[in-house]
Amino acid sequence: MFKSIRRTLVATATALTLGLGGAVWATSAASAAPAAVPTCSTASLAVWVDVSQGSGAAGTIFYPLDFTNTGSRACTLRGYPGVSATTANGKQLGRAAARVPQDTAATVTIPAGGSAHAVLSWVEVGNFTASGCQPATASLIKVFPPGRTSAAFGFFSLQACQSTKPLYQYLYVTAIQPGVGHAV
Amino acid sequence: MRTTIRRAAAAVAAALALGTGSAVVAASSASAAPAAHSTLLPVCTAGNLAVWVNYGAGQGAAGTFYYPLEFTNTSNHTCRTWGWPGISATNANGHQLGDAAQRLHYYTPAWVNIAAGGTAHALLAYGNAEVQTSGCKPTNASLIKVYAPNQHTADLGFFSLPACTVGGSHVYLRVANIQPGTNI
Repeated sequence: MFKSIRRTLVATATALTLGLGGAVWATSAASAAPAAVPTCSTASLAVWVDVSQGSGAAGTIFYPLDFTNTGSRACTLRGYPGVSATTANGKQLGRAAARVPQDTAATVTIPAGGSAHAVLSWVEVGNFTASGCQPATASLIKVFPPGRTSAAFGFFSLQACQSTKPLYQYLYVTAIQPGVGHAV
Repeated sequence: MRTTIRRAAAAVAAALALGTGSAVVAASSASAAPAAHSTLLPVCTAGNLAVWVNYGAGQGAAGTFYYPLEFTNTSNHTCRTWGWPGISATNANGHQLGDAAQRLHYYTPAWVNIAAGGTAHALLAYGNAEVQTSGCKPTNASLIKVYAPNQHTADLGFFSLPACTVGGSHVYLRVANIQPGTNI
């Protein structure tokens, strides 16, 4: 009962908003079809690793890697971001994140001011031999949004391996999923 | 009697739904709250929020860098907050480095609603010159510890900048009250 009232009102609010949107489109372009939602540019995104939603055991911790749309319009993302950890000067530490296979990739729409996320797995580098891993403290995470050739940076102060050998793969990332990230 | 209760309940539901509806419309960015809605919304708890320093949006001048300190509502309901967060930088073990942040009185404080999945911000000023040239024995911080207004539990975010280790007369962090939206 409450739900149906709420749905109706929300639907009305949405319809009103869409109506206004339509009016704006009509003035800017005399075309019947509304423009498709554009792909998110790097400049319209802020990337961040949510420490507070970190969870895990057995030497691997899962963090949401969030993508916040800081632009003024909705935009879309689809697929895997390119992720690596760097020093404060942007020098890459070890191997870039490997992709966690996904059954289906979906196009995710992020409203202006909203967030989407991928799941970043970080292997505690103490699991590796120090001589092989060559541990160092990272300062930043460097993230290429799917299909983009410029990267966004976020703070990231965890231990990284400097070795680029396959054995010392310490970051993994999933494809982008809807909504702000929560502990997995 | 039953009808009365039902009507009252429906009215409350409608009011709540209206609150939700406007939050959806404003999902793009947190908005200053109309007083009538604020009375219906819960205050944002530490558990509702993720805090993060928006590295990519940093702007620097004359020895001070300005970052948006973002507050993302990771809960499933709109919440509201008012005023200044309590802030300090820590090492990886949570040990505070130097002085806590002082308050900046740049803006008139007001209630800010943060929609589910939405983000509000506070202006964070980082005194690069103070850290580097005042003799405060800098070391690299790992985390920023943030008490949201009127909360007694802190949220943590990554923060890998040099910080003072000597306190007392080396304030290097300053923060303004929380404002709507992601951008400074």
